[in-house]
Amino acid sequence: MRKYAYHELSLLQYILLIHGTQIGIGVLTLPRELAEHAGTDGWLSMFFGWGVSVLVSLVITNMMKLHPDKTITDLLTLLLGKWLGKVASILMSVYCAIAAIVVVVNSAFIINVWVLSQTPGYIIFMLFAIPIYIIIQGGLRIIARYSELVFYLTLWMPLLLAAALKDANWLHFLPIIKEGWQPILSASIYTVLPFLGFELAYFVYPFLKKKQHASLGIVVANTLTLLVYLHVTIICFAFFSPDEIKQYTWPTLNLWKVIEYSFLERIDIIFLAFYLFILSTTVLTYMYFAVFCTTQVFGNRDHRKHLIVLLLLIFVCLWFYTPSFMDLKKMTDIWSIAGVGFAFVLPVLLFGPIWLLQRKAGGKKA
Amino acid sequence: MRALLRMIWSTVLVVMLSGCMDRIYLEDATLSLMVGLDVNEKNELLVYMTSPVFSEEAKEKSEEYGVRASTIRESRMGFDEIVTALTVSGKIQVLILGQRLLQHPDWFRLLDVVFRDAKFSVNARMVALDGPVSEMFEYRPKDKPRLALHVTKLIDTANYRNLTVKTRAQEFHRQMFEPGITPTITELRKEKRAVKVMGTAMLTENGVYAGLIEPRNTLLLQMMLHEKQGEISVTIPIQEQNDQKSIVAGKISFFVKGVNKKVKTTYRDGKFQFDVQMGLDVSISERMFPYNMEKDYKKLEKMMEAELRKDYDLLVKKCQAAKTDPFGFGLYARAYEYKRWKKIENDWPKAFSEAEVHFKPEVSIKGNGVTK
Amino acid sequence: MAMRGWLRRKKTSAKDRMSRRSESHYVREIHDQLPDNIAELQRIFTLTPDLVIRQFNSLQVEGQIALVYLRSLADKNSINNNVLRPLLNQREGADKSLFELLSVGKVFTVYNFQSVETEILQGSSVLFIEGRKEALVVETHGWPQRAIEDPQLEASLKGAHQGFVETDAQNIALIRRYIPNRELKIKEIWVGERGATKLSVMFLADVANPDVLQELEDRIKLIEVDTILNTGELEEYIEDNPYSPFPQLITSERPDTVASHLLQGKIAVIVDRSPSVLIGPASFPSFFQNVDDYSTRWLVATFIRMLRYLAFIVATFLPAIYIALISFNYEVIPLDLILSIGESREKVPFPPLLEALLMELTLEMLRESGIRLPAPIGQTVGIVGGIVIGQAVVQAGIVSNIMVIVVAFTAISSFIIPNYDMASAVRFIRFIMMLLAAMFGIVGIVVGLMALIGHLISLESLGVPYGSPLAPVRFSDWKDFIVRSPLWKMMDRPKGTRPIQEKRQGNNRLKGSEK
Repeated sequence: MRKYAYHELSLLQYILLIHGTQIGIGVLTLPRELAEHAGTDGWLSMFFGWGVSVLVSLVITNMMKLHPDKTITDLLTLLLGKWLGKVASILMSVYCAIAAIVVVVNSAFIINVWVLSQTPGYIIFMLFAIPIYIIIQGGLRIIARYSELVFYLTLWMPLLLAAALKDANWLHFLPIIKEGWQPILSASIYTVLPFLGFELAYFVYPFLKKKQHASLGIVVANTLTLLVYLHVTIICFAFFSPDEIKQYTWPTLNLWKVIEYSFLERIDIIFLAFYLFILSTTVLTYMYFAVFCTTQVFGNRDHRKHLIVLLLLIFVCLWFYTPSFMDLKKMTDIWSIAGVGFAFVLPVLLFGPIWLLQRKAGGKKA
Repeated sequence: MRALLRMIWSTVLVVMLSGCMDRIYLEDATLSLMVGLDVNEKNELLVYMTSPVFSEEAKEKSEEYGVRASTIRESRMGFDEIVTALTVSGKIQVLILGQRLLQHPDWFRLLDVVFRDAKFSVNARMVALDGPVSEMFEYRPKDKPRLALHVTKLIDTANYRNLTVKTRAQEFHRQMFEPGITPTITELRKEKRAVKVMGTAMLTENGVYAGLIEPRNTLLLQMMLHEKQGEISVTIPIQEQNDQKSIVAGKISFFVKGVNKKVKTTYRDGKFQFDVQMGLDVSISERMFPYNMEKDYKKLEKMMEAELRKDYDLLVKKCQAAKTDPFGFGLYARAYEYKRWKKIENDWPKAFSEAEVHFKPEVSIKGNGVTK
Repeated sequence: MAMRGWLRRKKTSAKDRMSRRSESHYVREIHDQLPDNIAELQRIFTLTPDLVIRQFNSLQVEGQIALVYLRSLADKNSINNNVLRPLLNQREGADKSLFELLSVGKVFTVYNFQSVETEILQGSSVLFIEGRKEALVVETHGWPQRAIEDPQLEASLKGAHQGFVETDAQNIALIRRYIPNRELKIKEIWVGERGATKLSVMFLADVANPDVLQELEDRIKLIEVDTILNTGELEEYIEDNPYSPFPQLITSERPDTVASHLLQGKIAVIVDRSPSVLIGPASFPSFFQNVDDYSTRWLVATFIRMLRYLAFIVATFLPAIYIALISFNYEVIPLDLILSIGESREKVPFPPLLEALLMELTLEMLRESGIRLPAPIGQTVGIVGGIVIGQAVVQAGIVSNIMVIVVAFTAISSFIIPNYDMASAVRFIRFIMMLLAAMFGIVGIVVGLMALIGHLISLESLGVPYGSPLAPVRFSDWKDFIVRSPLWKMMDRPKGTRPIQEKRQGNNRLKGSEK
């Protein structure tokens, strides 16, 4: 019984879907956060974040392997019974919704600051809602294709970013490990949030066509993400002076501001507009799984209605209350905490019971 | 359901159509291309601006205004009261700072809006003007394009020949925040009939004007900072014959084809020591005295090295005396002597003024032109 | 809830109406008495002056014979020479059966009046014989036909100069000439209650994917209409997403194009009475390909392909980008350019959106007016458009000259797209993008692009992804996508159409070492 066969993903799509989800607002702020806590040694912290993420994603993958045709919501229902399972699924949905909302509201806010300073946030959100609806209504298959395409469509960005390297000063990195390992370790907490997104393996695993490569896939996805972050962080650190970088909220965008061509100036505006593509992959996946969970709970087949409700809800909220930059920070923190819970703690807690469940079921069959 | 949604959708679209407020048509915008900041005798901030006029009916091609204001953003209000259209700051090419302003230690804070407002251009070239800024903005040359464009081009070309530095606002911001370097910006002067590039203005750590580096020394500074960039043509005297009556000085000019810089940083005797090794590949472009190149080119190389070392030493002395470090030796100190650096991090210029810098130019003549 | 029901289109009731009408059909058997049959015929064909019922006796057949045909549709020569003459005059062939006497290619027997009616209306003649409960249908079609000419819409430089005509038999012949292979199968499906239209579904049985074929057949069988007048109508009934501006099936009037698509594993539908053939499943890139691509040098063809995609982008986004830059993001334009744009914009009294709409709409009108005019007048339209409007509008200061350049560039770009339907889609999308740009500047354009991409990748053609080989990415198909790689490199058929036989050709080039 293959419930999810229609939306089968190839391995590449699996990798790029997760990778696309991971790369989000983190790219814009990460260099500053690292510089604040570990100076120019911050790039070393990335490896810790990466290592932890890879470990946990492998735990998740192995957990999902025990029940290859079930998503986390099915598993929770199996484990906790019908009603508690539904509650757990709703919690999952809320988590995904929070993630999606944080990213989408942040994007609207950044657009507001950088490009359209007078346009109200809810109107910008409304604009975003058009492609969001068009893509999510097609289901996971379309989202995966989209993530794949966006990956290729945005390959020029890191290359162009390297144009800033002509003004780079590599002396900023020396000496490596200035103050010992302590600040580097403490800064690695900040690399956790940027790696969030791998926990969607909870949901995506059953859709994967070639399940034997799932572990490889998720490691590759995490590594790709690491490379992107390293690239951005190192260029930022080389370009900005270690003390200066702390002045910027979004150093990556400031980096683009400097690049100028004879036919094009102020690339930051164009970059930011195109960066919406990268942000969209994060929003789309989280939002899809938010409505995916609710459709599972309510036994509804059509996720589009749920999606419309969610979009309208966000729109109305933004209409009545425009979040300030402090609210955004708080929201992001909430997401981080929830993310640590869902992505790092949950798999460790669940692995045992699910393994037992598998053994019990296996015993029955035999 | 679908029809209901469609109705909501269309109402929302109508709301959207009326709800976008960011539109400013190009013809409704007054693009400020050059902004000047100065203070008058009463220490009041004066902001100047010039912007192109598009209208065919107007005789002049650009308009210049100056207003008294306490901040740059506040000055926008003043400008909007005068100019035809809305003042926008996205295309500022040159930011001119008056000499009197540069005497005030806190003036950098005035530039906050440049970095805070995302719409502000950070690619404006920073200029220190030797004299009052009003002179500059009142200048309407007949034989030049719009003043702002002229000045922009002037700085860019002068920088290509390494007569001055080209410090854009972003770079200036970096130099201000980097403890290991002091800022340098272009220095201009309004002469009677033209705007002239004077060289490079050295600023102290908090932005106060500390002295001028002449164009010929700017060359040396640029080589130290960026190795080879643009076109480097050096002319130095060689004391071969001492004929007082000759109008032809014993000078030699050469292009620098490649620079290879190595800095060795040590800490000895309570001060930082920098050994700078500069490998220069040169090609001689002018020689004002007879010389047997084939036989004695080694000797000539040595003489050029000695001359360059002398120039460099003088330049460093001058900077040290002015308590500035335009070379960015602080970066090397941090990179290679981190523990010592940590102690003096907050007052690097003082530490630098005590440091010892040894230049070792190594000239290698690669070309001799088309005559012998 | 009540409103919901009221707003929803009543699909079920429409179906009821259709089925009720089909009840009126004749499903009556043929009588054994000739007069009864004639009476029946006269009841079916009232007010049909071109119906001919000729009764005669023949030596070879016992009993009276009635020959029935429509004068307007049947070929009189064929009836005279091949039906009447053998039956009336021949004396020696007394031992031959009726079948052997009729010297016509296709003769068959029918047993009810429904078939009789259909056949007569298709131009065949029907023979009723006294005492037999059957009728003989003799194929004697003969209707006005056009000669085979150069295709009008899809002109080609190096390709064949034969285009489809309005007779499906001819069209099938044209295609079969390219693929004389027994695996080229044809399924006939009749569609339409009144003017039954014969659709011939053509495919290579060992290449085309049976699921896709099944999907296509199922969709065709669902159609219940009066008649299909044109291929375009059929396309609208069977395409996947009727709300999309993009063509989801290819229509072609070139037999070589159809043959090439058939060889790729696609399926062609030949609609009788229509000079174009429908091909599916289509993918987005296939609208940017042309037969000439395969007969020019591959490097040149690749360059032209790239030019076409560039033209697609330009034609879709250029006016939008202009609007966005002029009204929102002029920081992006370099200083010198901004000054010259500013000077030319200064005189113009309209906002950029209105200016652009004005020019774009003028252009669309010029284009539309030119299409259906005879060639000499069409040229006049071009002159009026180009000189009078282009020049005068700028001199009058209504439109800036940069805008005229933008519009002209856009127009030329949209002519480069080889497929008419795709070019029309681009024209339509351009206006949406312009609106978005006028509302949100570059952000609006990028979000529009996002929506466009989202739409393109969720589109399907006969259940096959439309965006292939871009989304889902199929690198093996990229050999014939932006790059037209050498033909001998394209060893496999494109996977985008899901062929069941993948290998297209063997290794046609010797490797260096094998020379």
